[in-house]
Amino acid sequence: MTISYNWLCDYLPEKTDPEKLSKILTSIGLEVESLEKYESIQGGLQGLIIGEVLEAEQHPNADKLRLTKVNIGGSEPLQIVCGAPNVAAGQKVVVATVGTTIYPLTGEPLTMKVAKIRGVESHGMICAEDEIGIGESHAGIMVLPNDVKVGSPASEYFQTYSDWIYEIGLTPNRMDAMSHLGVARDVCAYLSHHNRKGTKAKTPYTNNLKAENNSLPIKVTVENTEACPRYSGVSIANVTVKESPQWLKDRLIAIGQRPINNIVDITNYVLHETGQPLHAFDADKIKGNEVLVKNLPEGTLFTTLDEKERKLSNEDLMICNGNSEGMCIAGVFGGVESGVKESTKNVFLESACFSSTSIRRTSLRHGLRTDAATRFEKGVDISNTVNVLKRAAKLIQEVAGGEIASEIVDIYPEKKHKTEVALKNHYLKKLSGKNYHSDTIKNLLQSLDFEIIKEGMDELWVAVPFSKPDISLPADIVEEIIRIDGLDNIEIPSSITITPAVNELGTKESLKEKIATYLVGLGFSEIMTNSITNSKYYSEEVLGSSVKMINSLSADLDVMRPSMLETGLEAIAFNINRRNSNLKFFEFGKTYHQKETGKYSEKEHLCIYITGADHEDVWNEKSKNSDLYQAKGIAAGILSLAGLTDAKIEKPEGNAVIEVSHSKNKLAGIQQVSKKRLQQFDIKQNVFFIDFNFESLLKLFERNQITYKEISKYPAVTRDLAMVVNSSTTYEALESTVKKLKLSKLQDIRLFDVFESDKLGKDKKSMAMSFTFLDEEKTMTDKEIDSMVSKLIQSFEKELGAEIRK
Amino acid sequence: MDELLQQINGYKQEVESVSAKSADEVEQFRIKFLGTKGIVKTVMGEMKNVPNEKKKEFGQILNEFKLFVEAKYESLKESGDAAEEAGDHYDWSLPGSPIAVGTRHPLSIVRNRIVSIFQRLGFALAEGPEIEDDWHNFGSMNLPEDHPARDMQDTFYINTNPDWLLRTHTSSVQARVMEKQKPPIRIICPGRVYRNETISARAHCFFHQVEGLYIDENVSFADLKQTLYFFVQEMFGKDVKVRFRPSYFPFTEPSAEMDISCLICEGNGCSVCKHTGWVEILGSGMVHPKVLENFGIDSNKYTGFAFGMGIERICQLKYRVNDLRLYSQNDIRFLKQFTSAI
Repeated sequence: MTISYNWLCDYLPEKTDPEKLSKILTSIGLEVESLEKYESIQGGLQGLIIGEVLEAEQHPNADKLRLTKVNIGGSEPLQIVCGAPNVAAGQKVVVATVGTTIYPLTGEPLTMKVAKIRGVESHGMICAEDEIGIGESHAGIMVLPNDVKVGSPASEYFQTYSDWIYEIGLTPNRMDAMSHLGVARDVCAYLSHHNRKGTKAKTPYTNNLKAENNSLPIKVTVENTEACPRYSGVSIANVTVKESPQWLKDRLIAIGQRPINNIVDITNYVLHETGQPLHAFDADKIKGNEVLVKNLPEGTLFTTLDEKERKLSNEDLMICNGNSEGMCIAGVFGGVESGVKESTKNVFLESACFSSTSIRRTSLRHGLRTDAATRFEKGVDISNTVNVLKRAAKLIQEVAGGEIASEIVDIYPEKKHKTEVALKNHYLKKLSGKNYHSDTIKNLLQSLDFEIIKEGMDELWVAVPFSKPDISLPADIVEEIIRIDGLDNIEIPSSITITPAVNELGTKESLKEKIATYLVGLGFSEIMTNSITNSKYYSEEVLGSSVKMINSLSADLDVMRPSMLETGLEAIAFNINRRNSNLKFFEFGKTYHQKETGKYSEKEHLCIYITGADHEDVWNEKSKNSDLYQAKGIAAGILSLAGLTDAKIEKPEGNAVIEVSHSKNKLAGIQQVSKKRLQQFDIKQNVFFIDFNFESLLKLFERNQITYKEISKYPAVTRDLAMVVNSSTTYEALESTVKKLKLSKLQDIRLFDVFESDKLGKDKKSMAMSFTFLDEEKTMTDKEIDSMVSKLIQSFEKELGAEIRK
Repeated sequence: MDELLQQINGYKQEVESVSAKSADEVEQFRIKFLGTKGIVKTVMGEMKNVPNEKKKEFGQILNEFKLFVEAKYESLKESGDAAEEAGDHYDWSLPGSPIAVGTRHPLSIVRNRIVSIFQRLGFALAEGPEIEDDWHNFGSMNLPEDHPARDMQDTFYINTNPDWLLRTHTSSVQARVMEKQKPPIRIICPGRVYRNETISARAHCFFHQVEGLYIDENVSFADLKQTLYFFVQEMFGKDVKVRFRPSYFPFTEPSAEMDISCLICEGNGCSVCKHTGWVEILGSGMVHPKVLENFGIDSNKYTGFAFGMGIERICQLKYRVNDLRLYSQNDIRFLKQFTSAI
């Protein structure tokens, strides 16, 4: 909302400077988003002076330049070089003196300096219209009428208008402040509370408006009183429609409104003054001298002011003439026929109150979000229609002449009652945390136009002004009090009262942090990807149970991600395209699924992405490409952080994903992302992906109980075995062979070498393992160990056809 | 015999002059003088040729010589160790091995920081679903049927009638908690929220918020100010100035926005604070009586405060990230800048 400082000052009993006013406005909840100087002509013609050309001679060194002497009222005339062909002695001109900044119509502002032009000093400039932003002409210097006063400021002659403009971020509950008067009322409440008790806004309303004759009586009938609870109007005869006077145009232009003609401008002016929308009809177009406020049959055609023909709904409230022909969509938009034009002689002025629901529906239906509609939607002060009508009629007479040609019509069948609210003092204290004196509260509320109905011991009954339809609860009144008193004036207590709460998500948070710290330590960076993604990444089958928006942003962002891989691959592709191809990422994120409408689930994941090398080649370490085993190692690390070292890791036949599970819970999948998938993202290097079901991980982690186990007093013994097996023999086969033996004293096995070589024979490979034995009870003898090792050897030979290398 | 004496004196001089620069040279010295075939052993062997009457005298001389060499060896060893310790034989300036360091996402860092500050004040974490129904996101939060936030233009809908949508604020978590828990309630709810906005530097279709809620008997606006003032000082330092402005949210009454003095221009006015010296950081207020009553909480007995802030906004103020898209692009050159952030 735009508020003019000059305008606002009309209603303030004391002068307050614009900056200070800005602070007051923000502190009472009318946040000033910007405060800017307004000038009808940029720069306000500051420093420009009216001068008289005393001499204009040929420049000694240039054909096209003149050398002039200009009197600007000083003791000595100025020597100015001028390039305009029309300059001549005796002319009255506008002079930009040295030091003055001029603001040309186009281009950058320019500050005058003493200049040497073709060897001759020039002390200023004689200006053309466009050079100082007054007009577009560049035909030559501006020549003023002879009677102007030499030495006077140009701003006086051109009557520049300047103002300060506040852009206020009005919150939707503050329709009471949607006008200059409304803002002034709030400012005065502040001034009254903080500075001088009883400060009140000066209102422009008048009671001094009488019908001068009854030459133009208009009968008003409101058929739909629900949609139009109050309708007031008056006729003004013999007006002269013309351009508005300068002061009116200046005020409107300063707040960004376009002047049209004096009648329309007055309705607009009064709207911004009082907040009440008005409409002026050409009274001669009101057939039958009757106004009917009613709905018209569905489908009736009506041409609005913008010359568009619209099909009305039977729910659109219309202002009609005596023949039931629409003249105006009530409170929303005028008609092309009945509006005020140059030719209009007689005017019927409407000041009404329409129901917000009806206005909203109509305004949405026709896509007409007009200023008037917005105001009616938010609710106007129903008690004020006649006051505003009189104010506007008076102003019309002032600027357009004419006489009041009817009594004031005021249809208000069901008088509205003010909302009454009881405010308990202890509630005010409880909610605000501050003690207020009851007189302070009364004064403050009265200055905001609340009516004090009665007072009890701990209770104050107030009637809410019609201008504040949003207020209905004691909490609303508390807000009014603390906002005028100032939120910054509520003292912060020195001690804090807390009600401790058990943190049920503490474990989850801790596990996340633990894992994140581990991964960051390994060089992983955390990413956050958009959970809204592109359905083209997914198969029909996956999309079948995915969550889609009805109103998606674009075809690229149309589905809630059903899996985590794709958005991560997008991040990888983004970086590879920017020449960063060694990436280690992790993300905690959700996927979204749908069983049926209304049955949605969100699953939490921890995902890890590895691609490229750990690092580039360096002097003591060659770069090494990441591989599946690295991914497996990291997965194992996370499992041990969660206390799940005994998780099962297996790869089902024909499945590209290695599955990690624990006590029948699926925990994670580890995979090398398929080439086909990578192609979708234009990624040409391997990507390894681990996808943890974070909820399962957390569930098992929470079950995990650490119990201290005695550390063995006896030494562990290690034996190594190298064996030649078929190259198709997997490590898993070795491991299960060992496990089958159930050697209770075998603590650990470690594969430390795998290689193939011609020397071993075709389709053969060597695998070397280290076995650690430990007896918790005693030191083991060589004999015992040898016996276990030979069991192992026998098993390898028998089960895998292994040949032990000696 | 004199010959032997002369020989020993010669060795003494040689030993005296030895200086060893490395462990190798010290070892060479040991082998030459103290080894099994070393000079000391050889000289000692000469004892057998010494006449008996001179044996005592010579024994003493030879013993002194031996002690002299051993002492020298000890001192050489010591200075060699010292040289080794000083690492003089390394090129210490070679770069260290490439041990990788990663980073948390800046939004995680800021989120964790916010959460931990409130946890110090006894707030417990709470979470709720991102796919919400109308009641938890709008209705129970006192947003009227025709509130513009409910427009398709602002909110992503999954289904209409019944309405299912992507939550537009973490206030829905308030609803979830009040539904199942009676006061006192003291929670902090971080989470992802969605708005139907075209993606640009200043708007995104998803972002993150932190919501706080405290309901008990006698919770006042003064308490709200205290908690938020504490938060701001912890987050931005003790010197930061705070101002509260009356505002409007459907779910709080009275409502207030909190501004802090602009961290960039320190209140002198810049483009970030639109030359006001203040930047907005969060919305807050006393829980609207209707919201309390919506969950069967007696609004005469209980009062409470609520607040909500955008994590991206705090991140912008703290690290001057000026483009929202950076957060979900995950450019490693962006992420790595937060390696040392806390």
